[in-house]
Amino acid sequence: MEGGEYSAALWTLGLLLFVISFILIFIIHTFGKDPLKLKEED
Amino acid sequence: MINEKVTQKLVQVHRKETLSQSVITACGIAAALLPFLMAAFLLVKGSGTFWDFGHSITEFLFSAQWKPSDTMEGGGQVGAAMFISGSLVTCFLSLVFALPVSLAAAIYMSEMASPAVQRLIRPVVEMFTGIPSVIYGWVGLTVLVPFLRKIFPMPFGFSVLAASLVLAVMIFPVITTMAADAMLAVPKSWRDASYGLGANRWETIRNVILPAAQRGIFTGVVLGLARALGEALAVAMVIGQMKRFPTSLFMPASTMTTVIANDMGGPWKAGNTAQPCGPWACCCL
Repeated sequence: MEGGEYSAALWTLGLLLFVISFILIFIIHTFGKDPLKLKEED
Repeated sequence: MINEKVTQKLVQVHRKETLSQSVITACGIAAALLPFLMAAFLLVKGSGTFWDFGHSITEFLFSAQWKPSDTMEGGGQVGAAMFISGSLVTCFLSLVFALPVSLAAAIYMSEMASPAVQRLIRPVVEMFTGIPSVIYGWVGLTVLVPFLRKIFPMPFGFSVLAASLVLAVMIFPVITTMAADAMLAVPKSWRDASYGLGANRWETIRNVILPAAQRGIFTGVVLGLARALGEALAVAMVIGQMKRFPTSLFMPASTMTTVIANDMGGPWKAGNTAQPCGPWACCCL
């Protein structure tokens, strides 16, 4: 593996950020709704 | 003869269509695959802390000891709790600052402003999203930080408060435009029905527009939160980057993104934290 423990720890922080972003996107898709669809429903 | 020429022409057109379709399909698949490839890459690189160096997820998430060893042998401590809490606190505070202003601006843009004013304000608010983060950071560094140091009892000016305010300004247009879009998408007939039942404008906004637009507003809030969470440069310029918990609004702290932005170039390979010492040593000599 390239890089030492410090590098690996920073990659893990990056992974954590990615996971949090993924969760936020999942939340938007699950609970949010395209506001324009309201018009279509009307 | 003529038929043959027409047939050849049609075949050529069909081939071109097939080729362009293939290219477009390949681009679409590549665009869809890219996030998965990035996720896989991050998973492989990011899990090294746990698989190769034997740290636990609990230690990483909840420990405050951040002393990773810059060697292949490991043996350091990788508690990132102070950076995680720094990110969460600054994001939450920025949301607290930005949300009321954004909602008020969205209500004004969608419900109160005349069409001419709407045409003027909307591009101005949207323009904010296109401003590079380094500009926000620079203004924060040169204007906000000295201002905060002057009016609050803080030692440096670089603080969680400064970072939260800069982030609030950055996420304000995201939440405002999404919320305004959601409110504008509420059918006019719903407003008319509310007015017909005797409600005034504020009652209509509170009881009809906001509940109908709440999902769009929520989407804007989450998008703003995502932007705040991922912002590195502007935050790094004003937060002070002290490796400590964000226990005070007026003290420096660090976030996950600032730590990555600061240190990623250093320990690229084992032992590289020591490399910058070389040029510094030359300067000293």
